[in-house]
Amino acid sequence: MREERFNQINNEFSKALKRICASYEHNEQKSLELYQDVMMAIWQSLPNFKDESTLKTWVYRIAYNKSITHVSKEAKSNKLEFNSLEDLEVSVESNQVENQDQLKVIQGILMKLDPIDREVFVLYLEGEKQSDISSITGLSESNISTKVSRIKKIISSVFRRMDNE
Amino acid sequence: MNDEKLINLWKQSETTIGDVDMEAIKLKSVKFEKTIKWRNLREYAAAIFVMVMFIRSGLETESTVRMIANFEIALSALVICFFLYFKGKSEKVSDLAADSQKYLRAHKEALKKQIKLLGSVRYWYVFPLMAGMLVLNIESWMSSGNIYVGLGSVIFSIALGIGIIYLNEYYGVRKLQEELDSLESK
Repeated sequence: MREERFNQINNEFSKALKRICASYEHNEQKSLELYQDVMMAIWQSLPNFKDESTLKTWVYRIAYNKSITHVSKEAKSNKLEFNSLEDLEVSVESNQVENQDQLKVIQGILMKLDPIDREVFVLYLEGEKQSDISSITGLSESNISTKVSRIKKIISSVFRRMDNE
Repeated sequence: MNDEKLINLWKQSETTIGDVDMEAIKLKSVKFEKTIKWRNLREYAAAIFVMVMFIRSGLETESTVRMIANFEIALSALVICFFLYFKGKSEKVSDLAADSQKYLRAHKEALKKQIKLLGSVRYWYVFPLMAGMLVLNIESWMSSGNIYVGLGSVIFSIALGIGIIYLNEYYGVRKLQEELDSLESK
């Protein structure tokens, strides 16, 4: 049963889990280590999984909690704080904002958000419903809605600024 | 850019994280659990060994001072076992499958408990053990009359105590405090 569930998680969620880990750790080697830690934590916690929440909610909770702990442990080497739009230094080679450049912008902004805001926005980007984001983060739906629209505004204004340059 | 476009764009993104061997993850997990189990067992076994050795030594000696010092060290080992048990418990507090807000609260509490425990290592680990050790060292020094050996063992005991205090109360606490500060600022 444990093996079956673990394989199911690996098949269904590995891509999303990798994106989550990459959004919390840019260093290639460290993001792989974080992903391995997340998978190990999932394997270790599986005997305690109860059907109180969906498997996806449960997996995401573990992934985010591990990632947030990782960020706090690496706080000294990853001093990234988002204060204002002016703090963003996003460089793109072309004036034409193509998909790849837009992704770079989004990832750059994500890395500057605090871990909880990052968690909310990555879940939104993963296409999760507000009620599911609330269940994973423990934040109210109105709080989530405020955070998402605030970050979307930031992204839009960076895109606009890049278009104008 | 609307929501759908943004979500599609995100899902197209490729990470540099390669696939990991799931069998290796399972093995790593088993190895990790075994390491923790053996580490705890070693700590308890060492404490029991110290207790048995010093109780035996206390019962065999004819000197009242040495007997009290031996029993004091054995009692200290028991106190250390007690503190290590609670340290182990505080390490397991945070439930990884809880929602992030609950997890963060529990994790911060666990960190505070560990900081408190490590920050007071001199009181529950070093001083109780050192008191008995120093009495034994000084007593041996007085009875043998060899100032170099006596003074050497006293200095060694004190240096060891200072080293343990530094590693736990300064180095260990500083690392945990940095982690806590980072979480508190969120």
